[in-house]
Amino acid sequence: MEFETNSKDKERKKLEEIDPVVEAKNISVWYGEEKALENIGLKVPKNNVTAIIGPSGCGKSTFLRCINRMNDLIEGAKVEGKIVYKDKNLYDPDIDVASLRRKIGMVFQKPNPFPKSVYENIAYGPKIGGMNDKEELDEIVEESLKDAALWDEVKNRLHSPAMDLSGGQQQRLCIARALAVEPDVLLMDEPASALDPIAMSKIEDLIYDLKQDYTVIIVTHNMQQAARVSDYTAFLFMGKLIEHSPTEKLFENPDKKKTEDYITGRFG
Amino acid sequence: MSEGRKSYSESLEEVKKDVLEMASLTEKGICSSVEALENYDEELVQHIYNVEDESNKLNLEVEKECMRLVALQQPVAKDLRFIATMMKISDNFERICDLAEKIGKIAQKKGKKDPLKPLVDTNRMIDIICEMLEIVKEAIEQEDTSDLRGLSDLDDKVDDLFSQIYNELIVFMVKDPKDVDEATDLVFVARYLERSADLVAKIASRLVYMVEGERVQIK
Amino acid sequence: MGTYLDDDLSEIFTEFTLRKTPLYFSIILSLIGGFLLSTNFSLILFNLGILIFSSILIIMQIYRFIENKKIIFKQLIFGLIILMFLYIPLILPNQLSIPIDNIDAGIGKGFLLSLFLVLIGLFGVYINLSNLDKQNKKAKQASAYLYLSFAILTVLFVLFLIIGFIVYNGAGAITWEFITQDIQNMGASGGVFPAIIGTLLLGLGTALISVPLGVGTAIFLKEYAGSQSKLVRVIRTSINVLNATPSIVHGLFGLALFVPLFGVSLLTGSLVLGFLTLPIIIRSTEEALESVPKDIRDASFAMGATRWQTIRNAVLPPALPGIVTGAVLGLGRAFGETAPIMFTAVIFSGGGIPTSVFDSVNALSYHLLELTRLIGYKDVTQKAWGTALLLLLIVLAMNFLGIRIRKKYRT
Repeated sequence: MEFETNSKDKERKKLEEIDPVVEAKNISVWYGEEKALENIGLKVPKNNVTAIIGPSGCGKSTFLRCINRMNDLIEGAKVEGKIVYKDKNLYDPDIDVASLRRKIGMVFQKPNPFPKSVYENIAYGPKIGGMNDKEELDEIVEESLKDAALWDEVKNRLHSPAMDLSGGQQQRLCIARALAVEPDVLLMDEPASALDPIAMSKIEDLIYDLKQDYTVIIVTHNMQQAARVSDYTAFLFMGKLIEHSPTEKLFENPDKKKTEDYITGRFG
Repeated sequence: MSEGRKSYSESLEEVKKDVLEMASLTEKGICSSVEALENYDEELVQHIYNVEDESNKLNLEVEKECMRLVALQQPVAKDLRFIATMMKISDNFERICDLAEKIGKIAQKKGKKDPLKPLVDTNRMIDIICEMLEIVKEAIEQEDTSDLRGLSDLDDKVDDLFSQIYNELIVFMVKDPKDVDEATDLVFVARYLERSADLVAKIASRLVYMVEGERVQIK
Repeated sequence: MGTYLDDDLSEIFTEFTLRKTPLYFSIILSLIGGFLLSTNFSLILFNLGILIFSSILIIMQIYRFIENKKIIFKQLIFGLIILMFLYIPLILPNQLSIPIDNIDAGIGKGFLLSLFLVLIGLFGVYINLSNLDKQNKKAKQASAYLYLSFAILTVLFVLFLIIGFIVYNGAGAITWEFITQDIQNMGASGGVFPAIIGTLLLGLGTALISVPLGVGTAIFLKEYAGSQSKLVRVIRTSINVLNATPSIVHGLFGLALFVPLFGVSLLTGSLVLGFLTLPIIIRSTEEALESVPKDIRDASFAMGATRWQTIRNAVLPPALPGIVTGAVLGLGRAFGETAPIMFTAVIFSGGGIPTSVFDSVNALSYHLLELTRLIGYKDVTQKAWGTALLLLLIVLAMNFLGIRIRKKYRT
C-alpha cells in the first residue's frame, strides 16, 4: 500500500497563518562593536505564550529587551530593524517609550519588588501614570493581585513590606505589578529560574492563565519549562533565530539539526 | 555533556540492543514454529515456548528502561521519538512471539502426523516474513528508513499467500469433513503468519516516524 | 585569641628542636624590648638584643644553607644590611621633642629604641614561624594571626590612648556651667555656650549648602550622565581635587573670595565648610545610589516611568538612609575642622550668639585652638581639655548617629 502522511497540528495554527500582535523584522543589536543579534524576524501570536530558548549568551534576553526598548538603557547598545506593534514601528522617533512600556510590560529574572509595601508596589505603575484616586487604586491593586493568583495570600498584609514575602510570592507580586498598568504584552525574562520547584510551577500555572487576556513572551533556559508553558517556541543560537515552530513540533520533531542537538543536550 | 547525559546515550544504546535482541528472538521463534509444524520435534516446541518467555521478559525490560529514561531525562525530539518507538515496537515483537507460540501449540496438537498437504505456501510466507524482519533489523541498527518502503510490497505478498492458502483449505474441508479440524488449524497458522507480517509492517511505520518524524502507515 | 593560636602554639612549644632556636631567640628579643619599654632604657640590654638578633640571623642562615646551598650568599648580604640598619637608632638625638608653645610633646630615644626592639622581635617570630616548616600550614596560620592581632591591637591601643587621655583630662572640666555659660576672661572662666551654638549653627549651615549640592551632583553623575562621558570624568577629577585640597587652603580661599562679600560670618564659614564636605557627600550619595540594585531601576522603567520618576520614586527612597548617613558623617567632619573657619567665620571671644547669618560666631574647634595658645599665660588647661572632650563627644555623637541610621535601614 501507499505511504500516507497523516495531517497533524490540528489545533495549532501554522506560523505563516497567524496574525501577529508583535512582529520583529530584521532586528539586529550591537553592544559596542559586538553584534548580539542578527536579523531576527519573529511573529508573536496574540493570546499565546511564545517561549524563547537558547544557550546562555545567545541573545534571547537581548531580544526580549528590544521589544519594550529596555535596551535603550544600556550604554552602547544599538538596535537596527523594526518591531511592529499595532501597525507602528516601535523604533520610530515619535514613539513615546514610557507609554510603550506600559503597553508591553516586563517581569525580570530575579524578583525585584520595590522596597515598599505590597500595596505600594502594585500602585506604583498607576500612580506613575497619574492616577491618584484611592478607591480606583484599591480596585486595581485587588484586581491585579487576583490576576496574579496572589490575592488570597496577601490580602491581609497589603501594607506590610513586599520584601517579607517569599521568593515565589515576590515574583508573582512583580507579575501583578506589571499587570496593574494593563499591558497587552507581557515579557518575562526567566521568571522562574530563581525559584524553587513549587513556586516555579505556580508561576507556570499563572502564565497559562494569563494567556487568556495577555500575550506572553517568555525567555527561559529551562527547556522543560518552555515545553510546558508555551504554544510556540523560538530557538536562538549565537544571535540568530534558528527555528520558530509550534512547541510540540519543536520538541518532537524539530526541523533543524542545531535545534535538535540543543534540546537533546548534545551540544558542541 | 555532563556525566548524566553520557550515561543517557549509553542507556539509549542499551535499549536499542535489547530491541535488536528481541527482533532476533522473534525471527527464531516464528521460523521454528513452522519448522515444528512440518517436522514435529518436542525440543523445538519447547524452544519456541522459551523464546516467547524470553521475549516477554525483554519486552518488560525495554519498557522499564524507557520509562526510567522518560522519568529522569525528559527526552525530547529524536530521543523522545526513539524511546516511544522502542516501547511500541518491542511490544509488537512480543506479539509476534505470542503468535509463534500459538503456532507451536498447533504443532504440538498435530504431533508427528504428516500435514494435510505440503506446506509450500506457508513456508513461502515464513521466508517473506524473515526477509521483512531482516530489513527491519537493519533499519533499527542503522536508523535508516530507505529499505522500509519495500515492506509494503512484501506484506501484500503475504496477504495474497494467505488468501491462496485459505481458498485451498476450504476446498479440503468441503471435500472431506474429517479434515475440517486440521484444515482449520492450518488456516489459523496462515492467519497468524499474516498477522505477523502486518505487525512487522507496523514496526516499519513506527521506525519511519522515529527517524523522520513523520507518521506514516505501511500496510 | 581564638582556637587557632592555642593549638598551634602548643605544637610549637612542646617539641624542642635546635631548628626552633631562632624562634625562641625572637621571642626573648621582643620580651627584652617590652621590658625596656616598661623600665628605663639601657644600652647594654639593647646591645644584648642586637647580639641575639645577629645570632638568629646566623642560625637561620646555617639552616638555609643545609636546605638549599644556592641562596646562602644573597641571604648573608641581606642579613648584614639589616645588622647595619639596626644601629641607626643609636645616632638619633637623645631627646626628640616637639615644642608647641609651652607644651612639650617629646619622647625619649630610649622609648623609640625599645619599641624598635619589640617590633624586630615580633618580626623575627613571624619570619621564624613561617620558615620553620614550609609544609606546616598551621605554623603559618599562627604567625599570620599573631601579626594581624598585633596590628589591630596597636590600632585599638592608640585609639583608646587618645580617647582615654582626653576623657581623663577633660571630664573634670565638664559642668553645667561650662556648657551653659558665656565665655569669660578669655576662656579662663565661664563656659563655652556660644562655641557650642556656633558649632551647631555652622554644622546646620554646612548641611544646608552641601547636602542639596552634593546629592544633586551625585544624582546627576550616577543617573543621568553616561559613565564614560568626558564631562563626567572632568567632574569626577574636580571632586577628587576638591577632596584632596588641604582644609587650610579652603580657608584661605574663603578668606579671599567670600570674606570681602559677606565678612567674617556664619554664612562665609558655612559656605567654606560646605565646599569642604561636598566631596564626602557626593561620594557617599553615589555609593548609596550604587547600592540600589539595577533591578529596581529596571522594574520602574519597565512600568513606564520616566527617568526622573524612577529616581524620585524608586531609587531615592531606598538610597535615603545611605545619603543621610553620608551627610551626617560629612557634618561630623565639618564640626571638627578649624582651619577653614579660622579666617572666615569665627572670632575668639565676644562673638556671642549670632543674630543673623552675617554675624561672626564662635566654634568649639577654634576655641580649643585659642585656649592652647593661651596656656602658660592664663589658667586655661583644664578648660581646653574640657573643650576638646566636648568637641570629641559631638563628633562621636554624629558618627554614632550615622552608624545607627545605616544599621536601622540596612536590615
